[in-house]
Amino acid sequence: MPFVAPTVDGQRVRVRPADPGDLDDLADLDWQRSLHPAMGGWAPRPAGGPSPSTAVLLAPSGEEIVGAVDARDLLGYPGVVNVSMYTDATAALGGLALEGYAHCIQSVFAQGARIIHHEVLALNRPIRRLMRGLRVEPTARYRDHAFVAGRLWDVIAYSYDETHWRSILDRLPRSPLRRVDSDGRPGSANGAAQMPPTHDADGLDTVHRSD
Amino acid sequence: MTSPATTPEAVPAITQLDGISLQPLEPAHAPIVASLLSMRGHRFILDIPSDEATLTQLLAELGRQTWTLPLAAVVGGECLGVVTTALGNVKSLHASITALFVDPTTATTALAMGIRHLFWTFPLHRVHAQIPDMDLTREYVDLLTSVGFVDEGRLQDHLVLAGRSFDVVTLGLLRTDFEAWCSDNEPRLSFSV
Repeated sequence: MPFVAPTVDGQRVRVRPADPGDLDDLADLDWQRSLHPAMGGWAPRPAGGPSPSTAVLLAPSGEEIVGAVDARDLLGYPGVVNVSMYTDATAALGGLALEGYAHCIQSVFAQGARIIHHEVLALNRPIRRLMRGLRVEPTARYRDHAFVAGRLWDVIAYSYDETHWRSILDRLPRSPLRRVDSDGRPGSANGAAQMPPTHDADGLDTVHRSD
Repeated sequence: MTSPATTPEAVPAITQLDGISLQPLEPAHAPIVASLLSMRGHRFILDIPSDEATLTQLLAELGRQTWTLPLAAVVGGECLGVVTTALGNVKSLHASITALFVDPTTATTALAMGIRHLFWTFPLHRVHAQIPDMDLTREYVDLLTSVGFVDEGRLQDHLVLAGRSFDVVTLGLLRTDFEAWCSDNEPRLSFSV
C-alpha cells in the first residue's frame, strides 16, 4: 500500500509530505546524500516529482528542508515497509532527525505496516551503533551487495514490529524518539524537549532497492 | 623490449553435462512453468499467477530484463526444472535467482549448470535468493547451499501466509564462492582453464 507521510509540528522538527514545490530542495539534499559514503550513492527520485510517501523534515523555525524519510513497501512482502532516511547533519540539530524518524515510523505503523525494514551499509557504523542502542539486532548480512564509494560493501538488514517499537519508546524516556504519542502527534509531559539528544541519526538506511 | 601480451583463453559455455541439457525458457514454455508452480512448495517461493496466458506474458517480459536469462534444464525431453535471474543490478553487479525443480533433492548438478551459465553470460559478482523458512520450502535452502550458496541470515516475520508469520532465509552466492564450489565438487564447471 502507498504510505502517506505525516504532517506534524513537533518539538524540534516539522514533518510533512513532500510536494512538487520541494523538487529543487530535495534534489540538493539528494545530491548531498549521494556524496556521503554511507548513504548508498545516487538514487534518482521518480520523474513525476516527489511522492507523498516521502516525508520532508524541517526545523521548527525554518523553511529549509534538512532531511527526508522515504517509506516504501518492500517488494514481495506486503506489510513490510522499507524506511530510509537522510538528514543534513549540519542543519538537523538537537534530536531533529530522531524525532522526525519517530513521527514517520509512528505514522507508518498507524497506516497498517506490520514490519519496519532497514538496510544499512556495513560501513555505516554510527547507524549500526544506534540500532544496537535501540536493541534492534541485525538479522541478515548480504555480502558484497552494494557498490558504494568505489567498492562493494556488505549490507545489513534490520527489522522490527510495532511491539518492539513500543518497547523502544518505553525504554528510552529521554530520547527524542519519545516526542510522539500513540496518534503520531508531538509527545507531551515527558520532558524530552529539555533533554540533550541521545543520538542524532544523519543517515539511516542506505541502500536503495532500485540500485 | 616488452614481452608479447598474453591472450587469455576463453572458457566454453557448458550447456550439456551428464545427459542434462540447458535450453532457453521461452514464452511458449508457459505450460511447463505452470505445472512446476503447482508442485511442492513452489507457490511460496514464486508467488505469481499460474494461468498460462499470464505466464506467457511474464516469460516474455522476463527475457527482456537486465541480466536475465530464463533457462530450462532438460533430460531426455523431460524438464527437470527452471532457473532464472531477475532484478539485475548493474551498479552493484548482482541479481536475484529463482530455481524450481520437479525434484530439488536431485537437482544439484542441473542448478550448478544453470548458475554457471548465468555467471558465464553476465558480469555478475553475486546472485541471491530469498526462501520462506517453512517445511515445504526447506529443500530449496538445502539445494541452494548444495551448490555453494551461503546462508546470510533471516528476514524476520516478513512473510504472512494464512495468518501465520514466517521468516525468510536469505542466501547469497559470490562468483568466487561458486568457483571454489566447482573446484571442490565439479571441476568440469570451473572457469579456471
